[in-house]
Amino acid sequence: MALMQIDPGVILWTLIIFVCLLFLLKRLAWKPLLGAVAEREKRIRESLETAERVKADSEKALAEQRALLDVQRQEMAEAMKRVREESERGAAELLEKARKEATEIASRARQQVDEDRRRAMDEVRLEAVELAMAAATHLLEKSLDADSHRRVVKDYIASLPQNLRRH
Amino acid sequence: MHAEVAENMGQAVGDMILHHLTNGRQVELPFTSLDHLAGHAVGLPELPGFELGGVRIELSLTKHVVMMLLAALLLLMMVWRVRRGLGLVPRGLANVVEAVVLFIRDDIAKGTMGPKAAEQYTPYLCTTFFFIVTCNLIGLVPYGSTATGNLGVTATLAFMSFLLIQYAGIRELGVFGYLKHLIPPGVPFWLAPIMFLVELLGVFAKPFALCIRLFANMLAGHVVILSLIGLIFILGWIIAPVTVAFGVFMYVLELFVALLQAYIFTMLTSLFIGLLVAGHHADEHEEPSHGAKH
Repeated sequence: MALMQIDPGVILWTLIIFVCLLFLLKRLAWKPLLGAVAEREKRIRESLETAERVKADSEKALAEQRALLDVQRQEMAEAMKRVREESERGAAELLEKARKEATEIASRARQQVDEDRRRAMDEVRLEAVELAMAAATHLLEKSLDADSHRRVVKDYIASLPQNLRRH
Repeated sequence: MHAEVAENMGQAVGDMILHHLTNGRQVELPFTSLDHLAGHAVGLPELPGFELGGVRIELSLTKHVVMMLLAALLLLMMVWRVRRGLGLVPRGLANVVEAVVLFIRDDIAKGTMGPKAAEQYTPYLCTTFFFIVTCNLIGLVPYGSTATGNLGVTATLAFMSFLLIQYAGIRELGVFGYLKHLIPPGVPFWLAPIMFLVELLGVFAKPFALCIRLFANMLAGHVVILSLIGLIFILGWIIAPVTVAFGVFMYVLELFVALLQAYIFTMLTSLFIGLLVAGHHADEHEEPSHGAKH
């Protein structure tokens, strides 16, 4: 049967065609194609590695920044605390001083008042002596001169008990 | 009377099928003849043949040789298109071809013979696949003819695979190691001569099976389609809807078979190389079934 016969010419032609095709396709197609694939794989791997490295770097930088921020925040808090303490201390001192001054002023005022009162009392007392003396002089014009009257009164006052003398 | 006509018609259909499938000195082309009965046959140029070891080799072009040249031309045109689309971001046809090449390299070659040998034999496997698939598909185009339905063509393809398999084995194992692998390890010494013969037979049976499988598969589908069309002439036009429906079904199946047989031929060639190459590696690294697993 013709179908099952092998034609040597066909074999030779097949060999020629296939070997030429193998050579040409290998040179022109498969090598460049697989080269392009390898190149792409390399590029992708490199891109991934770069991305990984950049990510690690940025994470490190972020951590550093965060640490720095923490330190600064702590320092700021401490400074704030110190300032507050100082201001509180200053305020307390001022208050204390003001209170002391107020007390001083009050006591000085009180002394002044005491002084004035004593002086007033003395004056009142002297006035009363004058008045009493005037009255007594008026009554006893004739019998006694002024000097003997004053002596009599002074003696009388001196004879008064000590505690009564200033009132 | 009627039966005689049918019988004659049957004879004619059988001749038509045989004529269509066998190689010949002419190709059919549309619009080459106004005479319908003369067909569309165009004679092919004669080339001088020569004698080699008592065998007459005719170099004159035949139908299947023309189809193979056409396949080669189509593949070179494809390569031209692919090369324009190559680059970091492949475009157009380069994408498709790249996907197929990577499938052959990663899934067929690496899977059967390991990554190192795969790089080496991928160009051969790719060429085999693309050449066979193109020849198969040309056979499905009207006026085309299936070169892979020619026993001489498939025998040559299988012979080249045979040479490559033995080359890969000897390269990997050395001549002595190659001969040693013909006796499987662990065989009792009195069985060794028999096993040697069986294994030697296997060495030749493998490419023989490659040759016959491709030939028979490509032939069978065409025989079925042509027979279905022939039925119209034998049984009358009334049967046409049924046979045309079956014919279309067979045609679609043939499209699938065209791809499948090219894949099987490539896959088995790769596997036979892998049996020699990857098995050796498995012994070296004490890693059983190294090649077959991936």
